[in-house]
Amino acid sequence: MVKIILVSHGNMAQALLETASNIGSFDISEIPAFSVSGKGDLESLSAKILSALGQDGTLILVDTLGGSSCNTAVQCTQHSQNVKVVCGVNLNMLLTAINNRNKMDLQSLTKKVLEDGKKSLIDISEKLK
Amino acid sequence: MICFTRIDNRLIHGQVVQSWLPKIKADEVLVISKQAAQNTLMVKMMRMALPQGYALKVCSAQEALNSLKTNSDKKIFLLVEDLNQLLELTEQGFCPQKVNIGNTEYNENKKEFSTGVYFNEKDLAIIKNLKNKGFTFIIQALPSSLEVELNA
Repeated sequence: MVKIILVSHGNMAQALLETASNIGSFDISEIPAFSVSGKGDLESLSAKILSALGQDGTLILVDTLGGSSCNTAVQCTQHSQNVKVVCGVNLNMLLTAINNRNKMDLQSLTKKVLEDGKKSLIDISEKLK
Repeated sequence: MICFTRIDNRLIHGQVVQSWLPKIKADEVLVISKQAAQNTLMVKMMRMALPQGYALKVCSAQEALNSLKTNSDKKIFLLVEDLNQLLELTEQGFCPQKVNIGNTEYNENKKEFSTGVYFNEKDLAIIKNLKNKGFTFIIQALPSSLEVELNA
């Protein structure tokens, strides 16, 4: 099963995970959610991410491109071939990742998460016209 | 010419991209970091994170001098990883500036001066030395945060 890890600024990762658990059916303890702390201690964040990596590949979902969350996650990919980082996570992407993590390999899961993420951005008002 | 100087051990990250760059009209971001300059992955990430239209140069203090000495109209956003590398720049003839302090490396032996800003005795000695040379140090995470002058 592909391991899913969330990394964000502030409480977003934890809050997104809790919100997802009100919609999707899964064990919240299986998804580590880390944040960039105010202490700015990126080394300990990096250590936490590295110790949470899975054996069958890991998909790290981060909040924003170029943020410390993203930069730290990308540095962690240097230690393993089987880790992917996707930025811009939203609720749809997280649910897609969780719901398909035991059906797909890392490559196809990443592709699907990105597709569903892009599909989730809709100008509804425009559609309703 | 340098239009803004910031010390930030996170280099190009959220605060810089989302808040400082839109405020400071710069043409180039010059990142002074010996370790980042040797890490192609980090440089690639910085390039990706930087909005289009900005030139990027990542190098050591030593290498930066040529860029800083040439009299060009190019507006440079100077992003220095830490005080040691700012001191190195100064020893090479970098003129005294107003320096914004964003984030510094944390460890438990350092004293907290503001969220994300930590100094030990050695850091404070560098600050004192540079202040004597005419530098001013302003702790300010974001343009919307209060400017606090550092008195060391």
